[in-house]
Amino acid sequence: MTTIKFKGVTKTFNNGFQAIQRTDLTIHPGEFTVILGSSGAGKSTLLRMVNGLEKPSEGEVFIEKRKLTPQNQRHIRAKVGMIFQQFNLVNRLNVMTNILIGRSYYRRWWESLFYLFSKQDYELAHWALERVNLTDKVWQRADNLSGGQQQRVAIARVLVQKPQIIIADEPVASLDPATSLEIMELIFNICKEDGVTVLASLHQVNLAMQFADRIIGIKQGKVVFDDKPVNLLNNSLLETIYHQENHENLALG
Amino acid sequence: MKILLWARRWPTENGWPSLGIILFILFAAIILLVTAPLVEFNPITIIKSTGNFFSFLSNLLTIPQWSYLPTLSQKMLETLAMGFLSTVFSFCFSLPLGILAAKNSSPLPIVFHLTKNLLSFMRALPEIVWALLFVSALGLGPFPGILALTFVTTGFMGKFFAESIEVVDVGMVEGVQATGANWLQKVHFSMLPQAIPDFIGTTLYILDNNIRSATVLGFVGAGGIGYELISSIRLFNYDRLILIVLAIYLMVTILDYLSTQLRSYII
Repeated sequence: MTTIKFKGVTKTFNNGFQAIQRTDLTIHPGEFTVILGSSGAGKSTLLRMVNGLEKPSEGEVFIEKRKLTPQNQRHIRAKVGMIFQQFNLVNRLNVMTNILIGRSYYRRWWESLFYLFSKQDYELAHWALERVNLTDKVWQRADNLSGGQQQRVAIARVLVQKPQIIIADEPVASLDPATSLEIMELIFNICKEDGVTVLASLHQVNLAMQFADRIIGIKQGKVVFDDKPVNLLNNSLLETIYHQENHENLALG
Repeated sequence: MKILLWARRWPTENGWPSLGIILFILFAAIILLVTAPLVEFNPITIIKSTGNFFSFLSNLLTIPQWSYLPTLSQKMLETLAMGFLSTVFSFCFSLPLGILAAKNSSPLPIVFHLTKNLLSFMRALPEIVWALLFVSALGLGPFPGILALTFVTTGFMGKFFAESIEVVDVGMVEGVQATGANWLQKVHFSMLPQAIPDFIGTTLYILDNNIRSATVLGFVGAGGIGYELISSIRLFNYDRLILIVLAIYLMVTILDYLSTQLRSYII
């Protein structure tokens, strides 16, 4: 059960684009929090600040009262699993190796050099594969799997990290609606059964409404909505989060 | 914004090449005309010397000296071994140097610049010059030849390896980094697996190059078939020369075939 705290963070990229305006946010432990917003609203940037893939221009990020610094970044990453839109598996490696990479932090450099993982690591990997229902694909190359299967492998890689937090950056944006639902259910179950804090970005309002405990609406790098999903049903609020021309995203299918 | 005439890309709206392209072609033609005399380029010389060329070739149409075959095979094997060994050594040096010389995998900017400069220094001079240096330091034989080949091709292979690493998919790297992986794990788990097909292609190309280069290093006494080749030419031993030329041709063709097969099998 871990808290994430953004304290006065801003992010301005080198080209002058301000992705995040001054933001203070606390993500509560064990909650499934969804960040909603259209493309370019700053969802990914905010998420990527949690594990230091993006550094805030100003302000600080705290994970369970510990300030994220370059020194403790690796330690924090080991406890913060990340799921990506494009799955980000290593294509040419098989499923098992991709999952075992989730144990990198606990392996010494020479063990990594020879792909040596402990018996416990393998047991964890098999447990994770069962959890994501992919036991029959263990030795297949990652790029031979379908999108949904690849995202399951990515989730298994996160599971073997035994994470306290999962950040999911548009985890279902590249998947069809049925698979999207399966993947969201999987992440939701991990959140509720294992007590993992989940911070996910989505652009499908229906999925956010279905799974989130709390929705944070973000527009042009600024938080414009922060409440329970039920309070989002006011259409003017949706229009505040999205631009008028993005109406197709609002389909509550 | 008004696009300048000379910068306009082809095809243009009116169908004519842009002024930029015309100027470039004119510029290239002028450079060619000015520099041709400097390098004594003269098409007439080629036509005039056709006779000499064919008389040299006709000399080769002689009965080969079959008794020379055992020596030839031994020297060819030595050439092959030089090519293989230098490629293996180059690979061992190029892998770490390539990693350090790639912008995205180098641990520090200073290491990146130093390694990059080291690699360009290594490949600045051709193998034969290094072979001359090593022969004068270490004496005649294949060993200085192997050193020279290793030295120069590490410069090339390291550069090629670095370039392959620099184009790997960032997403896969972030996927591994996000698990808390350290620098070595990041490189080893996410970058190298992506770059391996390129590495294999490069290594086979370098092997091909090294074996062909090994055939001429003998000109300066650095082992291999080269010494036999140059002495046969100088002593007009055409009955040997024909065998040497055929053997080199055969070896290069077979190797080319094998490396194509290997490449398609692995990649």
